[in-house]
Amino acid sequence: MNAVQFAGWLPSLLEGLKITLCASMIAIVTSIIWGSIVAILVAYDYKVLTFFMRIYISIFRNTPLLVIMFFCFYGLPLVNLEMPALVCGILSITLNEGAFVAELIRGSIKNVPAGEIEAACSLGLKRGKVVRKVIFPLGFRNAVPMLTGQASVMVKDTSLFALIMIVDLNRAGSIYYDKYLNSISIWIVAAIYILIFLALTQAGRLIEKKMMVRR
Amino acid sequence: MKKLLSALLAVTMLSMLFAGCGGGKDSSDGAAAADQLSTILENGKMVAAIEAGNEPWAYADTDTGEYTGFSIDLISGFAEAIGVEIEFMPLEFSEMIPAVQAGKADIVASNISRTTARAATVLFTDAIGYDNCVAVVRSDSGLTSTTELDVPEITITAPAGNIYEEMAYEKFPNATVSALASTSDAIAALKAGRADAYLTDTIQAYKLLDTDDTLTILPETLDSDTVAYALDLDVNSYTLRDAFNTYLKVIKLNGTYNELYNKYFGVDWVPLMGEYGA
Repeated sequence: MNAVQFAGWLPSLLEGLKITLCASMIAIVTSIIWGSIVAILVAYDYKVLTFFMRIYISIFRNTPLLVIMFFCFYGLPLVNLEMPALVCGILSITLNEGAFVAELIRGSIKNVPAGEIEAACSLGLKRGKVVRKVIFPLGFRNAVPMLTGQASVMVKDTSLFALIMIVDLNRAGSIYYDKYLNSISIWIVAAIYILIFLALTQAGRLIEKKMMVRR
Repeated sequence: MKKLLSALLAVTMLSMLFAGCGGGKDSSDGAAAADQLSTILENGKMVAAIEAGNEPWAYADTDTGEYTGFSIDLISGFAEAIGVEIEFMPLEFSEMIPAVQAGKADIVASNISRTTARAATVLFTDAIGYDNCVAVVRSDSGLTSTTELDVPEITITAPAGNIYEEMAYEKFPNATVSALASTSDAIAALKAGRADAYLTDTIQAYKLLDTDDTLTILPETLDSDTVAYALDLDVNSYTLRDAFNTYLKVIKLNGTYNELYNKYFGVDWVPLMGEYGA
């Protein structure tokens, strides 16, 4: 690949990189927020809401992300519910990964030592306050290492956007390949993905350090 | 910080290593190796990479399970003519060129669009066929001509990996262009209103119309291009390519090519004006 070919390819590459990074960041934030809400609802044990949340978790954990994406992208317009492709993609990732995040946080919420909960209750805090101020923060802190792993998975999930008509980083690599039949662009895209994951892992370590409680 | 820097260095070096491999084969083994045609004749076997599932060029016969199709018959005829066996290697489109560049296959016997940009990386044979690009739209969309496609409200889609995508960017700069992975995805997109026009070659377009009567083809032909087989761009490949080109010219003259054309495309082969030079 020489400078002329690279200059011709650069706009597509930057566009794809921008979309992958933005979509990943938004998807990570929304998945964690949504997953936390679901986890609290399940852990809090409302009778009806918890039942529906459990159904949601088991459906969306076991359905492949691509199926969910195609359903949103091709299926919903047939019932007059058309959304832009990027919204479809991020929504699918939020629903799919949100279920995984919910299970992660639910597991670490269960592992909050009973002593902390009893202490909070004995202070006279109501049930809602106990969950919000004690159980959830402690549970979330313990889940952070696993959540950074999920964040990497979400970045990989965004590479499926190529199949719903979005030019993301993955597709940008193919655009150059289709023109010149030279696979160097695909290696470059792979290297960029590795750099993204390295950055994500470092960020995860920083966040873990900040959130670790000194015992 | 040190770990991050060393990891970054490793990744950059890794990509530079592959940068060397991406462009083509090493020239260090050029003089010593025998040319490809001699090697094939000695071994008595030729390996052809094909893209199965691509009717009517190369697909598996549902009854016998054997590969059949225009490409298959053409390359098998060539192998028979020079007196070697043929072995088929079914691969995805993006795997075929790396396979010949690595030497795992001798030739890519698939209908690859022959463009100048690609000719810098692979060695093309003479044209084995040609495609005309047409636009498929929904019948109820009210579009009657391809001149109406160049507006911002229109979304045009093409098969991913196809040159029509690039052509669409140039011909219809105001419309939104995006690519889709497969024909069935494109039909779903047309039906769901995600796309307004699907650019494909006439063979695929008419096949689509057979299966689905809510689609129509716009009358103008958008582009004509030739398809050819590809070989590794290496000094040793030229004899194999020339042998294949000779075979093509011979069968075009003696009528075998027309028979194949009739068998798989259902029409007579009408040579293009410049085709003997193509």
